[in-house]
Amino acid sequence: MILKVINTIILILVLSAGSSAKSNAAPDSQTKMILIPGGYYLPLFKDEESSNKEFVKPFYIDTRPVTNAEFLEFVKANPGWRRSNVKRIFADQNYLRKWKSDFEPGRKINLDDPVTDVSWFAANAYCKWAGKRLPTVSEWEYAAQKSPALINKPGWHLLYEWTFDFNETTIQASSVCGGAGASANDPRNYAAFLRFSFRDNLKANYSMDDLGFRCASKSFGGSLNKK
Amino acid sequence: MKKYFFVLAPALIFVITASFVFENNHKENLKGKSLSFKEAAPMPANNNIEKGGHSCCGEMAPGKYSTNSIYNLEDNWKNQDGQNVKLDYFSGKNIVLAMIYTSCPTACPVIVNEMQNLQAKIPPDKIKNYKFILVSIDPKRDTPAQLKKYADARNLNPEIWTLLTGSENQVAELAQAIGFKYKRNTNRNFTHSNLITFLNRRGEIINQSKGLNQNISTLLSVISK
Repeated sequence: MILKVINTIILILVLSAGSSAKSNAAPDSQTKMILIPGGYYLPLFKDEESSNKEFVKPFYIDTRPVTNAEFLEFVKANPGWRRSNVKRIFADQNYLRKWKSDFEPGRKINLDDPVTDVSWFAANAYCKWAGKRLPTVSEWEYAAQKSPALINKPGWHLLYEWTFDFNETTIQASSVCGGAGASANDPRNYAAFLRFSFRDNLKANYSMDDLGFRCASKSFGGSLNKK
Repeated sequence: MKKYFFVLAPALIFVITASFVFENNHKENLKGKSLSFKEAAPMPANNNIEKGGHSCCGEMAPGKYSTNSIYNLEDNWKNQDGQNVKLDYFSGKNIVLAMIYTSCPTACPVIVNEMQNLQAKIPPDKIKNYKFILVSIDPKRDTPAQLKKYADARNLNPEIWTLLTGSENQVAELAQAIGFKYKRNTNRNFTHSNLITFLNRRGEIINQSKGLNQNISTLLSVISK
């Protein structure tokens, strides 16, 4: 009997310790990632100071953008990213604006759809929380070239995705009119033009309807639970 | 058996309760650790900024900054002396801030020059209210030692100037927060904005000067607001 009771106590202690350790970690069911093998990527805009081609190291990237359901988990675990709490410097007033409340996306929102109305800071923080990071512009564009299915899934109304260094493009692609087009490596790539132009006009705290994100990593599944 | 039950049941309840209390306290402690400014950003007692009885910094509690303050960025940076510094350490000062890299051949020296000219125009009795900050966008090469070397070579008074280096992610977040654009070129130089940012005592951007060779009097009028 005594032994049984002691066992019970130990069991309870172990269980409660386990649950407390788990409560703050990123979701276990990781978004599927695929390996993008390293290779040369031809940036849309020519870099005057270097050869045109840029080497992209191998990396993993999520096969789909982060969903409302996943982002909800993140918001629950990180009070600073709740809609009612978020700092304006990190996300403007449109942050998660279509959600009903902090923890209720609401009936109009499909939990499995890509989350939108999230800022760069929020996207960056999410990926960090998931043990991953945002892909760079070069990685994103290279992945899209290598594996177009990544970005062309029917049913998604997502047009754009955050990248880690979206703001770097501005310097070379200050506008997408005739002048910039002339220096582009592939003037026919209209969708890419749109993306570069769009990134050019973004600020990191903007939250917009057609703008979501996905994460990348050097290793499969990121480095989850490293802490 | 019954006897055991009466002894052990309360004991069991006590142990379970205690374990939950312990766990919650433990959680609170952990929470405190990651959020407490004072604990996480210990500044050395011999820091020059604290001399002269002027205690500017680290007094504000978390959450006290406005929603637009860059002091909401909570990560630790390293200064030129290798000490950990959070941005909100500078709260209470007027800040003149630029993002540069020390091996920058052309634009950055001009920006730092401008900041030095600006510093020279501030009356000596007012200078203690100001802090000039250079943040490296090249964390790989700009170690604290390299920043120190740079500060010494350019005669940057350590009581007024702080040079900071952090992770690539920290640099990106700060750059995004102030609208600074940069890109590493393959030849190890950067293409970047030429931007001097002025922050008030609460870490809010009050003005920014874009481009090189700004008129000093214009900058001064900005800074003295």
